[in-house]
Amino acid sequence: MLSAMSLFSVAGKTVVVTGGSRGIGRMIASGFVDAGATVYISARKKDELDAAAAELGCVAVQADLSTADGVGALVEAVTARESRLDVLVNNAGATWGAPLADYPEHAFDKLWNINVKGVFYLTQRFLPLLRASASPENPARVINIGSVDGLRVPEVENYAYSAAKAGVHMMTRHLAHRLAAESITVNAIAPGPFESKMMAFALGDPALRSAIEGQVPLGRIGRPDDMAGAAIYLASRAGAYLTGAVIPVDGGISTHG
Amino acid sequence: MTPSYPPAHGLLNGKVTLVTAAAGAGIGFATAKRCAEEGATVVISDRHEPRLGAAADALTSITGVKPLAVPCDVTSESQVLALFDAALEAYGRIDVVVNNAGLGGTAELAEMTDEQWSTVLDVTLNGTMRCTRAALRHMIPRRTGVIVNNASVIGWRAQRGQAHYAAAKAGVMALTRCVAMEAAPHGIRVNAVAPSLAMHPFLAKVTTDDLLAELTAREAFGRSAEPWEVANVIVFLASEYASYMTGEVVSVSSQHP
Repeated sequence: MLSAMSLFSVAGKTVVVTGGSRGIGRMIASGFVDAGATVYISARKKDELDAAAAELGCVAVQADLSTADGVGALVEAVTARESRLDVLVNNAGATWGAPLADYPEHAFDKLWNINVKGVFYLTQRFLPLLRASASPENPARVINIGSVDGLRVPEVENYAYSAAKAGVHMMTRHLAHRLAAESITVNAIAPGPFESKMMAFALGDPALRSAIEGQVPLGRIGRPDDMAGAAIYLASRAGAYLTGAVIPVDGGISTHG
Repeated sequence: MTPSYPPAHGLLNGKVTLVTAAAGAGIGFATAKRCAEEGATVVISDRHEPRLGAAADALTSITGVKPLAVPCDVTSESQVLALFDAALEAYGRIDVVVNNAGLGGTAELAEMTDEQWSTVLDVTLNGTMRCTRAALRHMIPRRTGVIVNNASVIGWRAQRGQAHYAAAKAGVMALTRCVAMEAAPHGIRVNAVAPSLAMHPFLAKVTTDDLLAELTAREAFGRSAEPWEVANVIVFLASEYASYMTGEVVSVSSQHP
């Protein structure tokens, strides 16, 4: 593909994708690498992380972002090499499903730490590098990965997850408002069903898979390009005048209300 | 009739590009400069460490971006591996490798020592093999990448005193063709340029006026090439415009056998 589309170009940008070794994070990291960006990916599991980084062509940084130490390790590793950060993709997250009567308290603690607190503190700690990239013509970009489960009530019993992802969406708007004057945009992508480990239990079962596909107005599971395309749009010149938006990339699921 | 230096077209936007022997006055430096101008993230190496620093400074002042500069003697496998490790540590991937390192000399075979023969072969042919092998080991798992080798028309033509250099350059051509067949199924392209006469201050210093006049007379344009004119062809082979070319040795110019 010839790189004539400067409107959507992210070539030469420096990008961090958390949870970039698999699933949606990997789709986004791979899209940015193919588009010519320098990409750092973080994950907790070193072997999987190193394999993904070598395969995709990313720089690997091992970090558990639910902890202050993990956040610090990632920020320090990137700061050691880069004088600016153009795009931060807060993707790392977890889910938890259990019946209402048995829903465990530690699920709330875990999901709050990784899905909400991790996003907030990583963004906070990366602000100096984001500010170094930011200009009114070409803002620095923060892209948070929310979920369609944070927009409409899901069928599955993942109470802490849906609540945490709704929290990510609101935090996106709050940070967008606060950081707009500094030329840092903050937007969220709310994915529907994609091929990820989080979805593997459902998509691996043919009956359940076709049931899920049946709920998607566009009639299919999301593909890697669907996710990479949305992230690249938000990170490129094309997405420069957008902040505080929550974009469903869900095949139309959120139109059910 | 002086040709005009071309404007950049973003042909290598975001491509991490490694150029060996890039610190001299010839094709290597011209290639690193043209690649940087075309949007590549450039990694330069050279055996000569002080000159490497000067080349990095020169590129920084021309393109505004400081290249990663790693000393490397391509006759040392460990130094080649260290060069690739340094590039991967900095950028996570290598999209393009330009094998420019080579060493010439003049000696008729009857007077040639084993050492003269081996030194020329080790730098010119074995060095290209080592860097190509290191590149493939990184590129094959990623299923993408481009290698451009610097051969020479002397690999085709007869010239006294050049048995070692001509054999090495003919070897580079054969290496290019064979490796291209191995790499193609992995989405990797391997090509070579064969410059005829690219003039630069060092060459002018080591070549007699008579030989230079004789070589110039063989040129279709009646003059030597500027190093950047050869670099332009390397940029083309490295770019997506050459997506259907592999295993080719492109004469620069007019001396294909």
